[in-house]
Amino acid sequence: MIIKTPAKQFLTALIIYFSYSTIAYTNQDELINLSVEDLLNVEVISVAKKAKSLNDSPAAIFVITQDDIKRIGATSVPEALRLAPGLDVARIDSNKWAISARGFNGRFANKLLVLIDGRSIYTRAFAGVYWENQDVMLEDVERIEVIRGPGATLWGANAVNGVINIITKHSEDTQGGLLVAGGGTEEQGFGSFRYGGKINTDTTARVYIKGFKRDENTHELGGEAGDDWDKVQGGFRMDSQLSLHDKLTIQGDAYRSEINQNSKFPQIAPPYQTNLNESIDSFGGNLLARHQHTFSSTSNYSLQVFYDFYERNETFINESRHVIDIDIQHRFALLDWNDIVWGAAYRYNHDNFSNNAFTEVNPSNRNDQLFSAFIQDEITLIDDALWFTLGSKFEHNDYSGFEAQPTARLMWAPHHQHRFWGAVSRAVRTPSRLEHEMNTIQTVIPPTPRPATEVLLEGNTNFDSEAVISYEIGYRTTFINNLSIDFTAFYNDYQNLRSGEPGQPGQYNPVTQSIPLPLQIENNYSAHTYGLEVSTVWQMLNWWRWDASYSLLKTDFNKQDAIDTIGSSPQQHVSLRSSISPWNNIELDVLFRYVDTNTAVSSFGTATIKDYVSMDIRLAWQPIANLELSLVGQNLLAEKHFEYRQEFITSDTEIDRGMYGKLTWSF
Amino acid sequence: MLTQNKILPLILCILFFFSSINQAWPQSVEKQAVLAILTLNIARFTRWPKPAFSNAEATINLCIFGNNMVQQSFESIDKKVINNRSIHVINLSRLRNLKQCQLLYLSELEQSRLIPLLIELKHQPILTLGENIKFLQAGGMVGLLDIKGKIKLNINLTIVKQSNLNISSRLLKLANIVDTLSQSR
Repeated sequence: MIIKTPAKQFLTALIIYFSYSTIAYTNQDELINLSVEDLLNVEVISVAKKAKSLNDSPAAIFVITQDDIKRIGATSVPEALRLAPGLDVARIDSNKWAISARGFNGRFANKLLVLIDGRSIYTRAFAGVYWENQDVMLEDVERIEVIRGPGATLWGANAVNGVINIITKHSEDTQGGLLVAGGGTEEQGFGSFRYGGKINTDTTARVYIKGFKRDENTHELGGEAGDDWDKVQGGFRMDSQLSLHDKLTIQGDAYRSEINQNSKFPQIAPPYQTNLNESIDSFGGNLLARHQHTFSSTSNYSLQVFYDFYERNETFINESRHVIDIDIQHRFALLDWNDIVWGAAYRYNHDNFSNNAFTEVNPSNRNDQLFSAFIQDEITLIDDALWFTLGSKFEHNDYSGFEAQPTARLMWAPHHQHRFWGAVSRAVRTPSRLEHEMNTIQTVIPPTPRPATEVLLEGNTNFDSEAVISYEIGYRTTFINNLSIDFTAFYNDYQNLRSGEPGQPGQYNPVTQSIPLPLQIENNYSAHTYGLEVSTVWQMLNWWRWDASYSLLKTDFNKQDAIDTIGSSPQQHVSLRSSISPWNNIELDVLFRYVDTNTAVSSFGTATIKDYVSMDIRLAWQPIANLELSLVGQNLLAEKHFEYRQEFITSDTEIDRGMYGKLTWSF
Repeated sequence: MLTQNKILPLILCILFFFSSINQAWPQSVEKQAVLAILTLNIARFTRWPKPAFSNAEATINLCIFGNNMVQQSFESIDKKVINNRSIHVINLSRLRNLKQCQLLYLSELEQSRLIPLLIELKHQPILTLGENIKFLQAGGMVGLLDIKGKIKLNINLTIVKQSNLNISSRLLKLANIVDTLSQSR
């Protein structure tokens, strides 16, 4: 072979190397000649599990495991979500994130449904998630399932572009004590303690408490951004096997945090905008009970009830909200070729807003209700090879009335190394309380020769649901040993997207010397998006794994001005991760991410955010069995970088490079 | 500056250094492969009552409930002949038509489905195999447990006998005999 370039030399070296190193894998044919005694003495490993198992769901699903969360050094749920393809995770400042799947991102992104152990954390206030309010003891998370695409049939409204399912471990698997402590530059200090025990032969439980303090980042004008915050959270979970057929889970959490932010508020007098450093008091809690009864191996039902509460007080808005939710599901097999799941749910919301100089919510109190029911049938067309799933969710809510969200899915498993699937679904994003009933001063346009204009964003009770029809296809394979690849392509057709329509300017107000200009929320935009997502896992050697993913997203709007209202998410995301454990007690992980340019829309104007590459490194050492010491560097490639601009109020903040050390002791 | 002809040896040196790390790992075998061959051997040492087979030529049906990795590992033992019958591996994606199985391998099934399933299979001449202690506690017959990197064979002998199955004493000698029925309830 004639070698000309270093690239070719590298390739040659790799080929020689792997033809050498494959010896490490023992041939299964040799095993067959071993006696039972010998087989029971063989040293077994199952390192390549992640690289070889294919998911059987007819949906674009990606699973983040406990091991992934630990090995990338994630300190929050959003940081862990950065591993998933098709998901755009952008940090606005220390305590705010913008997270969405397949586009339409923003702090108040509204097309993603998020659940923690079956409890929806989606708030009716703005139809999204306050990520800073949500936390779990990360060490007790079993896995996070990220489902891109509509999941409305099973999960319910607002699962337009995806569902995130955070699942914590059964309390039986968290027995004993765990102490985590650490600190560094951005993660100034954090600690958590969990203890799990057995209450009686059929009941296990755990309790935990955690807290952290995170540092400020860099303000757009330089200097500190005033976005530091701290939080304390505690909780418990109890699991009981009541009888051979009955299980009961009761769990709950409570938190309180002090969130600092630097905000820019519109004002009528020059300079038409005022800066304010403020501290937000945010607290909340939840309690959940779930009873599962098994009739037979193919039939079971579950009844779940939860209560969730939060309150936050900030200059822009003061809100408290109470949610009660009752959910029942029944699964059974019919005629040997149908698996049917059906369910019904009821949700009650009570909220309270107190009006202030910027925002008025009218009425300030509201109780609203949501009734829903769903049915889904998985029909076996060819035994163990081809399945067709058909289902729909039906709901009635107090904002947009009756909604139907059907889906049809096909799954084909021609061979154990190949899975093909396709789906067509409809999903809706129902209107939020604030879209219907909030009036706020969005911005003040300084006087030109004309007087200053006060732009008033007005809620509209006729604002209807946004809807999507989504077409998806996917293919998963492990055609090469120790390598798995997952492809998904999608085309989404959105109708009735939110728009802001300027009304007639009002009368000149001689006192404020300004003209009011109403901006009403309407459903006048439509769009289509299409793209693909690829993720792959390669267990190169017993001790070296690679994870990579690539996502492409294209967005086309029906109107030119839509991009200035909705913005546009990054076209491309790349993530590459190397996980090495050269010795049993050493782990070295390197994570590279590339995020393409994106357009964020805010009341300060449209911002084009430059593409960036970031790198995180984690090195961990286990000097003794129950103790682990780790060192993590985050966003190492730049001193600071800008990821996202919030829709309004929050000053632009650049995210700083950070380092921290951590100790994990289990006993 | 490195010249081009120095790069290749350098890369190889680095890679072979990593290979020496590889040697630091014990010579290990994929767990699923070992579990599949062990299952074949367990079948070899098991006697089913006559009515379990429709005729003298009938295959021993080994039903697998597991993900693609588990299915793949059992591919190598399909059509192997033991005790004059050939093994027929059936990959189940749903827990149905279980009466056709002489062996049922259940990999990772949640306890709430496992318990009623094993109750339904009680007294059926189906040898059930699983991978964890919970499987045995739920009333499974053979548990292939991974204890610190080695497979330990656990057999719930009372339940095996209830189903009129007979496991050879040669195999029982190598196994840890458990009786979860009397322990748990």
